[in-house]
Amino acid sequence: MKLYNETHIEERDLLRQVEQWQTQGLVTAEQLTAIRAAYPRRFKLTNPFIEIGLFLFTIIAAMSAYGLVTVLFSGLNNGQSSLGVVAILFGIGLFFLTKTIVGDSNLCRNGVDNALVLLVPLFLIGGLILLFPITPPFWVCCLIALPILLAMIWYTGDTILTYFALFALYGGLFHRLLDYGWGKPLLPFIFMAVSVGLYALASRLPNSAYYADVLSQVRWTSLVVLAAAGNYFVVRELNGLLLDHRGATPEIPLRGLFWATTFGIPSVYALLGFRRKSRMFVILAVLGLAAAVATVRHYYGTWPLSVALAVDGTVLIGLAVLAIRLLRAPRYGFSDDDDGEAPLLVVRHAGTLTTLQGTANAQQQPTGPRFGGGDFGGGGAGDAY
Amino acid sequence: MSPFDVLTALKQKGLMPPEQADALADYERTKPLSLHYELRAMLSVGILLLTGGLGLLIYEHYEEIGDVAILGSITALCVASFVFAWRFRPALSAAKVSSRSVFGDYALLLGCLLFLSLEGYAQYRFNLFGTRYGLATFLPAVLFVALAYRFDHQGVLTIGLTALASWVGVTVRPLELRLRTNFFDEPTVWAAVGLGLVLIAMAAVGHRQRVKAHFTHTLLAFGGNLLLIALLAGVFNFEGKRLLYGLLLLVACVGFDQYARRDRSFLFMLMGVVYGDIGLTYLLGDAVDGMALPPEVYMLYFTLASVGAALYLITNYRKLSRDETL
Repeated sequence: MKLYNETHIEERDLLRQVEQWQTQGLVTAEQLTAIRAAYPRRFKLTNPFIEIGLFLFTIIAAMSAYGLVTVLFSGLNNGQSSLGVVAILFGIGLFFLTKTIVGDSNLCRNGVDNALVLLVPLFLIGGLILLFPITPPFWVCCLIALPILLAMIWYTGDTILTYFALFALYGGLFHRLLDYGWGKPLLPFIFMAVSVGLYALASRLPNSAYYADVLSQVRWTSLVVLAAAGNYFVVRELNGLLLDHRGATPEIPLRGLFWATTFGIPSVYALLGFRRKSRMFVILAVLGLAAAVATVRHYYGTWPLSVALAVDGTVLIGLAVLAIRLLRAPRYGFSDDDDGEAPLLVVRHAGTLTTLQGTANAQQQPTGPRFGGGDFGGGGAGDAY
Repeated sequence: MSPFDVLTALKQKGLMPPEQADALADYERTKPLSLHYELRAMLSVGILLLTGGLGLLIYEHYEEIGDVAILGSITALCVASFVFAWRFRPALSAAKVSSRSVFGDYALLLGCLLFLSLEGYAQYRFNLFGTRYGLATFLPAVLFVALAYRFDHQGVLTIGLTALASWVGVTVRPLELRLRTNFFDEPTVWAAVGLGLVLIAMAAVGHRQRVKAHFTHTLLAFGGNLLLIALLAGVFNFEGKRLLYGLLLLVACVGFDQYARRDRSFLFMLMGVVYGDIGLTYLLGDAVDGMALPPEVYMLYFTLASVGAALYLITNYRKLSRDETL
């Protein structure tokens, strides 16, 4: 038995799809009404702003309630492990509270349950770590966190927990590999292999509505890490950082191979994006290639930052204008129609962010040598020109 | 759930004739992938990089390149952008209209950002406005707001409002997640309060007279946040006048709450509750400061206040949405 009703989630997704078809005029309004009647709305509907507020206030309430409990119990026994026990008990209590609230009021990601679902594993993990007499190394913490997070993800299909789990996996792996002499040189390869494995796993698992967001997130993250682990800048600078090297970082072994992957991996993404008409691969290809160009610039570039920015901006504007003109009529399976399917909120609001930041940049007088708005690489890879 | 699963389910339940389902499946299989938002995001980022780069370039290299070349080329680019935007300008109307070119809006944006760089440079090099620094920000701000209304451009409106805010001493830099204020200075607080009120009034008048009514939300959100942050800063920073600012904050929060109820816009309800909660908590904390209350009291207060705020949001949402959704 999972937290939310799986059939209800499937039905909700089905309705969303039909509603989209209706706005595109592919399904008649009468049909939509009939389908709506066959699949009545099961979950509470709220407003995004209300959800943000509820999320915030639930987190604050739960944290202060935990504070209250620890203060009340602090008289009994002082020490870290008793704090841990309180946290675990509190987490278990929150778990049952979540179950009750969701069941009683038909919630599904309405802010309150988002917050509770997030807090339950955090209290459990924090409590378990506090039970240790001394704080265990980071990779042990990750090892403790992973099964709890995975169980909670299975139970809830929550996306924020998926980020935490991915962070625990990659972070723990990174930290553990550094303990071995052979680990350091193999680090990028192991990361690439793990990413490919994760991607393959996420693509092979049955695509159920309950886990659709989780799986899509795993795919995005694994591809970003794959490209970053193969990026020359990331590998070389990280290597320099680990050697605690000051000044210019030393050359890395297998230089040619990493240069090949720097360009090769985003190129493969581009190919896949073009062939499969996949938004994810197209976006990652553009970001990855931008990061690759930035990497070349970083080591061989002679242009000052200002020139580089202006040239890059011009090139980007030119490419975008060219593509928009080219796609006036759909071509090669791509189009420029506003079909209302923006993939990420950030993409949709890029214009607003640009205007705000651009205004701030333009107004800044050169009182110091620092200028804002310089770093732009993306793809989680090298972003310093 | 893929579109094909949806179609299978609908066919099974007899909610869609098989021919239509097959046609829809065919459509889903062959429909082109729309890169609409991605391409526009790319255009925006390009404009940001270009104007950022040029803005840097002129200060770094004006001695080598020379004023004439710099001012000349940037002015030319700026003028060209404005001319392009003007050529494809939307019809003069109080309703929502759009440029007749896909690129009109972006040209206007580019022109405005270049104009800002140009003006900043003129002030830096030639001391155009002398020591009247306020004027140097105020003039473009007013120009941009006017342009925004003429060209019906939300982005340029945002630039104008940002410039107005920085005129009263508040800078917003989203990419650095930073909000810089000078709210330790009481006149700045009052200037921000005044600007917030002016923007709210503009929103109200525009809404009532149906002049670019779709700007209402932006104006209210910008003006409202400015007003509430300024009042909150008053509560935090001026010890003798805490209660006065607290009272004004309360009035503003109640006002937003009332507006939210009337208009069902929950952003404003959330703003009222969050700013009100912060202000009240601070005032209460200030009142009991030095009384050495046990920590339980504080924890209990935070728990109850947050639960109360959450319940307030839920019940009001239910009340307001009942007659709408059912």
